[in-house]
Amino acid sequence: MSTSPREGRVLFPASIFTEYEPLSAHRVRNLVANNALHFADQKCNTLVNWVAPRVAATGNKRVRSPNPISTSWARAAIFGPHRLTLRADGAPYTLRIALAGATATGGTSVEFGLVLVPDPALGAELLEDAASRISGFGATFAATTSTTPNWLAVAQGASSFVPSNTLARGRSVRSTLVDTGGAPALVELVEAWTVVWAKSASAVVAPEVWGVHVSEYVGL
Amino acid sequence: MSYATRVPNRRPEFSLEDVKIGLDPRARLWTELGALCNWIRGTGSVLVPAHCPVITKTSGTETLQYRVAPSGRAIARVWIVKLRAGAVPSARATVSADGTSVAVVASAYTTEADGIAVVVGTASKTSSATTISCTVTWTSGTVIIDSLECWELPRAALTKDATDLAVDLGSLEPDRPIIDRDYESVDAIGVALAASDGRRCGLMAWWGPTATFTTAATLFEGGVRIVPPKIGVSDTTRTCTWNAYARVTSGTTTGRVRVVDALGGTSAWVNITSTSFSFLEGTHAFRCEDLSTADGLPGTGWETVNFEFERTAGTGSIEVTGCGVYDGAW
Repeated sequence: MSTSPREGRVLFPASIFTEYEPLSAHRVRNLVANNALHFADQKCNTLVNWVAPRVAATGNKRVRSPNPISTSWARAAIFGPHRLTLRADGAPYTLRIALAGATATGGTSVEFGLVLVPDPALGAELLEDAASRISGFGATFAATTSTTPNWLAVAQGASSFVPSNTLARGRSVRSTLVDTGGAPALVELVEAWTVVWAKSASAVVAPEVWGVHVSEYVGL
Repeated sequence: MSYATRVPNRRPEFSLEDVKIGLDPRARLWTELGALCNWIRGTGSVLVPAHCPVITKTSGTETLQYRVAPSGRAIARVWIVKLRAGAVPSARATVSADGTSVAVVASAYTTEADGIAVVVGTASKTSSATTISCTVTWTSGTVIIDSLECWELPRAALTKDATDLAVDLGSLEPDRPIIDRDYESVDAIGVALAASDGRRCGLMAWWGPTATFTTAATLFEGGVRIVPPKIGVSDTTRTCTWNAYARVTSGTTTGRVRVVDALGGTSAWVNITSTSFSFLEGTHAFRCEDLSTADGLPGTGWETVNFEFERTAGTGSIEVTGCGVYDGAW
């Protein structure tokens, strides 16, 4: 979804801002405001983007699996903290989420759960709470019984939203300078961690995380 | 510090209902447009999206390198490196980047949220393609570099100079005259916007254990998903720069690399002839974001990138230890 009326940048000469040049409402709406809104729509980030490479032909998988393997949810990979891009109302841009995975032994079911949390030690409650599975707020689930690595169909579709507790507890302040070599200053951020959990139907069969993608989108 | 050029921590918004033919734009619109310009120019970007190097070190150092085109105004970068021990009980290492170092201890269990180094270092204001790096120095145990990412710290305020092009919001308050002065009034918005972009600086990056190729093959399982930004109103593709950190193992061996997208489109081949590792770069038009869909993906589905290597002469091999795709010129 776009907030700019033209859904794209409109080129215009810099001369329209020179002296004695009239600036009509049409120019303001379709050139100045449109372009500013489009730049803002596009100025979002790819937070996580990883797929396991084929580093060696055999026996050298670079996948991520929980250690130890468990029939209960266990963390398999931690990414972050990421800085979230915030809209005017303080809510973050929508997130596109994708998971690629496989099971180490064919036929044994493995399940993956991806959460965005304000602290990497948190997130279990999102996996345990059945209500969160229905709404998809903050947790994304996928499962497979195949040994062939594939991008998996996620239970909540490709988009997700950051839960309010992440927003509230993810607020942080980091030190910086006003400019290079300048006076000290502070910037306020909202940071979140991406944590991929996994569990297996068998305690000796590893769930294998082959890829994770989390990117921001202006959304609705 | 001037609050008039402060960078908001959230995207400023305004109503287009205020901008209609036949009505004069309200003064408040310009104030909000100015704040939006400062936000666009000052918030920074992700340079290296999080990924898993999965490199094991039992001695020495590992310098992870990435080709990026920064946003141009950032003065600090945040590196986050997650380490894990290859064996019980723990491992130790020091993570260094941009002039700052942090020593960390990591356990062997993925269930533990430890071994995380957050390194904030200085950055120079440039939007030119450049190589940035982060070094992990082994201290003890078996150290595994689990994940890494790098993003620019937002600016607290922009400076009224030719690089930052801050918009002085005080000059846009209601009842202030429209004046022709650098970084102030309506003119400042036009100048700042003309020099702005909506780039997604880092689309994907990988650094890991050396991969070896002799016959033609791709690096990743199924490709890495990317979503380049859309620029023009009718654009369906975005030309981005890809890179591979590679070499050949002998002087009589040559090879080449190209990228393959989700629909089978390919870039031009780039030859690999040096026995020393270096970044090789090319460009390719990838399908870009589609703002008419609910999730922004093109109607034909996710765009992906994969790196295809092949030997063209000799009996040696091609070695690859890094690659990436970044969004360059707007």
